[in-house]
Formats: sequence, structure tokens, C-alpha cells
Amino acid sequence: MNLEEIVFATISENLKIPKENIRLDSKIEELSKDSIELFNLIIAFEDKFKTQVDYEELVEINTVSDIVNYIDKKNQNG
Amino acid sequence: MFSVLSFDSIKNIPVSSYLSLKEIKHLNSLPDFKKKDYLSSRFNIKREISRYYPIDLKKIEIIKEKSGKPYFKKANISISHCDGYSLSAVSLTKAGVDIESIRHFNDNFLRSFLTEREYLAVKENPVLATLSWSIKESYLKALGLGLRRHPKSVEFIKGVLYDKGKKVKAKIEFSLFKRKYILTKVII
Repeated sequence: MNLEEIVFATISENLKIPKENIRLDSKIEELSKDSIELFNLIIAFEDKFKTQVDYEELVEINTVSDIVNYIDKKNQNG
Repeated sequence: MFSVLSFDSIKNIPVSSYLSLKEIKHLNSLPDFKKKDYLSSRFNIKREISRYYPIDLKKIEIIKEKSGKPYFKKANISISHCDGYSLSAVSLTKAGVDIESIRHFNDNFLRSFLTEREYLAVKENPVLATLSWSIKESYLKALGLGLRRHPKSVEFIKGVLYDKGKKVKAKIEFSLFKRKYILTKVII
């Protein structure tokens, strides 16, 4: 699986929504029911990619595409 | 005192009587599972604002800041929703509200948002664990941060709130609602 597919799978599994309903331009806020789900998703990404999210940067993350780019950038910076 | 509203209590009120055209457009763009919460929370906050400022509901303009925080030009506001219920606050100082359904968090999740002291105090009790989350959420919303700060940076222990270890002067209210939800309000 490439990065995009892993991000889609992680969102689908944690927010319990079918992958077909997720698009790159989907807004995270509109996919999740509440902040607990959102926080759970952040933890899932941290576990999956063995990284630590910088919470202050979350203001820039609005869409699924933003998550893909954020993780890609994190991976590149080691 | 909490301002709670259920979607069922307003479902027969035409949306055009309290939403602006822009808000109706936004409502139509939302997925179905978000619509009840949106309507309930918009009506709720506008009704609260109209208690202090006599403005026609559909003319009350609520803007979403980049951080996601709702903004009204004349006062600080906070909104929360869950399962069609909404909670709101209008305040001249900073305020944050939250409504959460009481849930059984797994141990891993508890440890991810609670400090060690909090974890030991609430791990066996879903009501207290949900209350801990909700107080942190309300406080971070009052600061205009929401999830832009890690919930562990805030600690609520024995009725006292700490921000990065420093005691916070805050008015904290909480209540059980319908034996299923926790309501919280933090004013700073």
C-alpha cells in the first residue's frame, strides 16, 4: 500500500466509514463525529507511522490530502 | 446553568427563520449525520445571543475562525453538540462548553489523554473519565485552541484545573444530563 492508501485505511478503520466515502478533499471535521474521534485518529496515525504529531500544526490540517502531505513531510524529515 | 437544546425540539421550525442563506448553503453541503447537530447548535447559540443582543436570528452572523473556533463580533461564544443535543455559551470573558456522551474508553486511550494522577483517579469510572476529557476540552476551547494543544497539557484533579502544571483561575461547571451525557463549562 502506498501512503495515500494507508491514510485512507486508517481513517476508514478509526472513524468507521467506508473507504469509498473518503476523498482527498474530504474535510476531516466533516468525517469525524466529535473531538474524541479526532483525537483517537491522531493517536492512530502516531502509532501507525511511529511519529509524534505537533499539535500546533494541526491548524493547517483540514483535509485528507493535508494529512497525506503532513505525514509525507514528516517521513522525509526523518 | 446550562443551555441545552435537542434537535427534536426545533425540528418543526423552518430553517429559513434562523439560518442565513450562507448557512443554509453550508447545511446542504454537510453529510446527513452532521445535519441535526448543526441545526441544533446554530439555533441554540443564536437563541442565547438573542437574549443579550436583540438581533433577528437569521441575521446573527457566526464566523468560523481558521482554528475552527466560532466567532461572534460582540461577545465570546462557544458551541458543542452530540447526538442532536447542543450546548452553548455567550460570555464577555473567555468561555468553553462541551457535551460528551459517557463512554468506556480503553486503557490505551485513557493513558493518551490523562496525566498519571488523573489516570489513577478515574481509570475505573467512565463518568469521571468522560468528565476529565470534557473539562480539558472546554478549557482548551475557551483558550481558542481545541485540539491544537495536547489534552495532557491540562490537568483536572480534585476540582482544580492546571495548565502545564500551573493552577488556573477558572469557573468550572459540570452536570450529568439524561444519565447519558456530561455537560461542562469553563470560564476564564
